[in-house]
Amino acid sequence: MKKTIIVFCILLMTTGCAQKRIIDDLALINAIGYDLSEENEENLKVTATFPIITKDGKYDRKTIIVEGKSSKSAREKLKHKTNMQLESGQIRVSLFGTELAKQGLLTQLDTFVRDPNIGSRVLLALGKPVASDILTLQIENEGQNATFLEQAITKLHSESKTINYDIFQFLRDLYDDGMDPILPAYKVEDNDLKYDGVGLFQGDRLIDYLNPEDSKLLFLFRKEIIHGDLEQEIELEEGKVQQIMLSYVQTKHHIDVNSVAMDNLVATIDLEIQGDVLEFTGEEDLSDPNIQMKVEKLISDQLKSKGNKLLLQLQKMQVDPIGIGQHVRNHMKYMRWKKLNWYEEYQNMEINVNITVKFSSNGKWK
Amino acid sequence: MKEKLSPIQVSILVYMIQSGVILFSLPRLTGEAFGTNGWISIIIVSVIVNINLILIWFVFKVGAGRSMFELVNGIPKWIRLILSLFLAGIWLGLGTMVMVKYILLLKMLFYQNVSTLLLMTMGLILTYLLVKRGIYHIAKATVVLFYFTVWTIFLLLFHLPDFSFIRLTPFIFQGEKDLLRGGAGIYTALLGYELVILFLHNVEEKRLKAILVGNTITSIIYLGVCFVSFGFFSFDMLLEDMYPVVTLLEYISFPVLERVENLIFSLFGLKVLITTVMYLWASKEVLEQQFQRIKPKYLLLIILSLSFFISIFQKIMRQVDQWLEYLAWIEVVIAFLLPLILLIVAFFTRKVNKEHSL
Amino acid sequence: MRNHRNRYFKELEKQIEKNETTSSHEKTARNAIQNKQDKKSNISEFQSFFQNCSDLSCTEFPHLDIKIYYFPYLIDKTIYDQHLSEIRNVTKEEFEAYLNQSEFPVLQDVINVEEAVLSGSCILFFQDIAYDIPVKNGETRSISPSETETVILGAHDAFVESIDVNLSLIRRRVLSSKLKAIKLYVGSQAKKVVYLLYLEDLVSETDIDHLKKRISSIKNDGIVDTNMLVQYIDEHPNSPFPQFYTTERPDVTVYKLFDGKIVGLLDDSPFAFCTPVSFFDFMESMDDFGQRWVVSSFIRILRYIAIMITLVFTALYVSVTTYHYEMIPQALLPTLLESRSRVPFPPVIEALFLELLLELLREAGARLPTKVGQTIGIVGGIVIGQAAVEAGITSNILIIVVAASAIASFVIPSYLMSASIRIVRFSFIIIAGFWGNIGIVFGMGIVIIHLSGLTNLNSPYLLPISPMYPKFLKYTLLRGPFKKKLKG
Repeated sequence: MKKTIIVFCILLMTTGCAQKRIIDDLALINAIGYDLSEENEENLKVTATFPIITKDGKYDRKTIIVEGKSSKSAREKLKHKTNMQLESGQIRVSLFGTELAKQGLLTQLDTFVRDPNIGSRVLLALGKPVASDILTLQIENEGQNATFLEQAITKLHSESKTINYDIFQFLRDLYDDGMDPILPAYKVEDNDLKYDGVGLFQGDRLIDYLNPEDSKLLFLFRKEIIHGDLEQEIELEEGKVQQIMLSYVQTKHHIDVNSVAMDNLVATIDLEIQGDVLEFTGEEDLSDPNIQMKVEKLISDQLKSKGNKLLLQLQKMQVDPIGIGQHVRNHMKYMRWKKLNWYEEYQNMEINVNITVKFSSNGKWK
Repeated sequence: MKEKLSPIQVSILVYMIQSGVILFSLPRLTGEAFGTNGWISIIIVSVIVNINLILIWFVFKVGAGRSMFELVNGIPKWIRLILSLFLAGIWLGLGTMVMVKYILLLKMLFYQNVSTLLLMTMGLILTYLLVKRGIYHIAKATVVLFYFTVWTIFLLLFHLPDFSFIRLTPFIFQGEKDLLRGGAGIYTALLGYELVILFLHNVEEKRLKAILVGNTITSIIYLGVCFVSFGFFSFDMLLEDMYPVVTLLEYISFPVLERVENLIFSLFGLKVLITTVMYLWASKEVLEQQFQRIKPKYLLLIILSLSFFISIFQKIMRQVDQWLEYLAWIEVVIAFLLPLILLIVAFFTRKVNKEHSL
Repeated sequence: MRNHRNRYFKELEKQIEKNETTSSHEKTARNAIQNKQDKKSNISEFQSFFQNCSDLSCTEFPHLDIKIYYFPYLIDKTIYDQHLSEIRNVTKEEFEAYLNQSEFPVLQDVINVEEAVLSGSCILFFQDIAYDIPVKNGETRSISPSETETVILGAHDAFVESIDVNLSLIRRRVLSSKLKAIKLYVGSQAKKVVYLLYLEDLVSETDIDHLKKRISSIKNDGIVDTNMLVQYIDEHPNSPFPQFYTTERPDVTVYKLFDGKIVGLLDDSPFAFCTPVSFFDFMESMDDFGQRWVVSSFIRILRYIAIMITLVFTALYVSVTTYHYEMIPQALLPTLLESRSRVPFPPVIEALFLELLLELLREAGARLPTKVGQTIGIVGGIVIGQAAVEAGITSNILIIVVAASAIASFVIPSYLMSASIRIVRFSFIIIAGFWGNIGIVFGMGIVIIHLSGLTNLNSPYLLPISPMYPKFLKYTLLRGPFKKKLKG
């Protein structure tokens, strides 16, 4: 025992300690944005924001913009612009500008996955049109843009839009041969941050944006959502537009692929939604089963036609964010799947949507 | 060594020797070796290990409970000398390399600026404290360390929300494969069980069951980790990730602590420690039998300094990987050949003994 | 002044040396035995023993030729007076007859005489024969509730400083002749009585022999308490962890007896020790047995969590703020940054400073009278903590961390174990300051290896866990339900 202590003390004396990274000496980047430079197309514009403590002890933030050939060389330049040690282990959100995303994100993401300091839970999002706008924006009474974005994205997630997209999930879908990733998009509007639909990717390249309305439907198809809200305009009688709002539970989410015929692939998305009516602007008596069934059918049909339209749009763009490819793959022999030119097949295949909406109750009022 | 090991201790000991640093890249290795749904290969490998374990158990059945060294006494002295030097060397190298590999990983992940030698010294201090008191003490400490580390397996529950059977795909062992070399790589992940040959005679009862249970614990844990990984990652991503299990750990976040891989990976050092400790102990044990004139304590110090000396030159990950691979292959051969040789010796000496008694 | 001191210490050293070799006192005693035929020397020998002991009283009755020696405060005056009034008016012959038919034992050796007078007897020298007249005064502190081990449910009596009372407290609870008591002596000059109690059939003979040998081989004097005694007989004197369970509660002692443990009692000490015990015995409280098993199992788990918190909580703070900033969650970062930004020291210094302050407060509180102690605790805790944060010496999160680990350390039922763990915690903090998480794990490794290497009468310290006996786990880690043998 005594000897151990002696050895231990010698150890302490001779080798000292690990490199210290005491939190108050660090500039902990919490959000970082990547854009293409405006002046030089080849250059990268990197915006980094990190919290600082001002002289009077207030929690504040600092934003730095630099340009560089690659993200690491830009990081070098960032270092020269601050008096503190720059660390990337606390990055929460990473934003990408539209133009950059169109060129592909894989080179940028490489530093995120390779650097052991950075975790796999960093949230990713798109900036419309550029990321630096969003990060430099000073929102009133909101200290950190990063915190704001993080909370906004997780809030969207809790509102069942399954948009909580971190590096891990993005890469997982990117590397999955039967699925394409998506990312939420944000833009600056009236000096405020606003969620503005999702960006659709093919591989790591951004193809197009989907507006918030359509993306809502996309989320409905994409994954099993436990619960969510649905707003719909319906016309029970000609010319009379009424609003109805449901708080729903998805009871069935099933994608079936019929591949009996070698060339003719047919996919069917079966959805069943059960909801409680939260709002209805019409005068009809919703407690009447007949009217309920009628409304149910109306909503179902509307969703179905909207869904079909969305799917056609996706097929035309050759993006598969729903993951139909996974289901097709799992219904095939391995060799056939490997030989398949999936995107071409996807563009031409038939995708049907079956949506059934059911009211579990009509709320507290007639 | 009057105390005997209880079967539970042996099971836990076997598990703790087996599980090592390879776990962190195991899902990728299974994917690379067997293609899609490579996790199933763990079952196959585990069965082979069980056969090997039965072989080892059989040695003691035939040898009527005699220890390996008692059995070996039947072999000419010079062969014994070469054999023990060879075994001690391999085990010493393997024990050291496992530790060095862990340290290099640790350095890469969290301690970029810390010298390998410092971490190695820390590891060797713990090794010294354990090995000097012998197998019984090692077994006792191992059980506690087991409890300190085994709960980490339940962290896999955090990954269930992101787990999807669709990603598992119905294809079994498809895609690019590297069956022989990759398969051997996976087999080395379960290596360490062969050391039971050194202490099996010390086990109270239910010897076979104890060692098989030990291997089963390891296999189940490996299987669980790989299975979850295959449903959590998409297959191509799994192949891209050097250390998928580190990524798995990174993904866990508690409300009060994030990035728990920081802690868990350090904690994992205790598991790696037992692997190193047992290999170095085995090395010491073999040398002790051969050089009975040298005090065991000095022998241990010599082994530790040798181990330290080896680690001085290991600074590059790919070098270490290469060494580990070669040593592990030799070890696989030893794992099968040593019990076979002993079996022959035991069979032979038993016959001689019988003739004597007649 | 210094010279004087030095001389004092030298004297002390000599004394210790003397104790370790055969004492001169013993030599005289041996001489006395040799000369015991010489009756004349008996009384003078006795007198020479107690030279300069002015508190030894002597009553003489010249007409009877008797001398009575006694320590006035060790005897019961009323009984003494009764005896005295009887002999006052008798003649020498009558008295001789009376003595011959009385049951007073004759003390042959001068050493026995010494012992008798010291343990509260009157020694009557009649015609140079020493008679032992037992008039012992049983004056002790009355039995009172335990201060160090308070329980809510369960008996409230505690041992006192008299071994007889303590024995009675145990005997009263164990109504069986199976309860054996071995009387041993500790020390060379001022011998002290030690009783080893055990229940026959539950304890192995080798263990008792082992313990007997160890206790009787102690030649040191001045062992005034059981907690001192056990440090002379444990197997790993350099370990920070206590290896013998000491308690001042008779109910705990009896429980340990029935658990198959050997219990030791030292005269003049209100503590009993139990052996062989494991680490987990220190985690038990008598309260556990009164509660429902679900409740007490929960409390036991709480205690193990408390140990972990005590050991690693502050160390983890140091390691996270110094090396692993990635581990701090978003929500905690602003507060931590804000409060840390004004602290000029690295986290290790900050933490050590506060921990040290807390230990000082605790120690001060323990040494001061109860009421003042409480005030110190409150004043220290609140005022100093608050002021330290405002002065920018520590961050307020650290105060919470340190307080939590201090509170957790007091959850551990055994005072000894709690103190040990608090000390070990300091090394964890230092090591975390040097190497972060891997340092903590390294420290944990050392502690585990050390603990699993400890033994207690050759029984492993972490018994039901390693080597593992799964059947006992539910009665040590948890408090499993009592087995019912009732039917119908």
